[in-house]
Amino acid sequence: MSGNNNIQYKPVQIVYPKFYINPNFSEIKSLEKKTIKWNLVTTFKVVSKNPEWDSITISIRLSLYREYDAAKISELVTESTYEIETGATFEQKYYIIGKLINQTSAHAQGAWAVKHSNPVLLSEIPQTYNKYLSEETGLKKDIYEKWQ
Amino acid sequence: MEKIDFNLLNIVLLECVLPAADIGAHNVPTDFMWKYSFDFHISSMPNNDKAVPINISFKLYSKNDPDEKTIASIEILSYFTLSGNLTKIEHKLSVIHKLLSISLWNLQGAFAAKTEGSSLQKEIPPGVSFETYYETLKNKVSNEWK
Repeated sequence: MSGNNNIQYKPVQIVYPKFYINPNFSEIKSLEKKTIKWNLVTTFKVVSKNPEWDSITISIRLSLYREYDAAKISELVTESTYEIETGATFEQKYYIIGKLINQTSAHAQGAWAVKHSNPVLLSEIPQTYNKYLSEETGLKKDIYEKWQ
Repeated sequence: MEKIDFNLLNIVLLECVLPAADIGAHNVPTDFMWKYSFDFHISSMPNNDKAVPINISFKLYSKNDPDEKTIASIEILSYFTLSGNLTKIEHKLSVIHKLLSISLWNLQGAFAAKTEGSSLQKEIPPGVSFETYYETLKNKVSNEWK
């Protein structure tokens, strides 16, 4: 159980609805870093469980592409669900969502590293920390709309 | 202003031992308990960046087993590099706390991936309050982060 100013939250489920490796790349022997590109798509949804607890699911779609022809090399979808106490202020929600996105992206990194058996692909670890927060400008709007 | 960047270079699954058969329905808060340990080192690289390998392991035990036989265990190594310069110990400690948290979250994700489809998948290794190790971490960071 973690908390921010007495708002408690904890992960209750981590699942991977999709894991894909392009067969053309499954036996790949080398991969130059400057020829690949990561794509990270983050969404979240909030469900009210009861007056005391909400449930937040963070979904991260992590895709690895070959840059010159946009061929998808591999993709992993991670969905981490957290229970969180109700009553958070907007500032607390913003802080907590940022932390949960970082936590979920680290879940995705951990899964990426153990799901791949090809040493070339498993050695490619996406750098995800604060990625969403630095690139996403709509997070505050999303929180207003999705988390009452 | 002090600034530092970090990269997660690699995650290595050092150990993952799971039950041979699915353990089925159970209630972890009352039946089971997790125990954890962690360690890390900070060393300087030739370009003056820092290398920070972090080991973290979790073991699941039955509360009712006097022998505390391990039901499941997982250990990973998250290997970070740091570039930039920090001088204040509190700033360094803040970075190490962040890396320890990421390593723990990497382990949670790895465990969920390794237990996919089994009843153990819903048992997530719990969070750790690394702040409670303040003095230990402060001494270690002071000694190793030159």
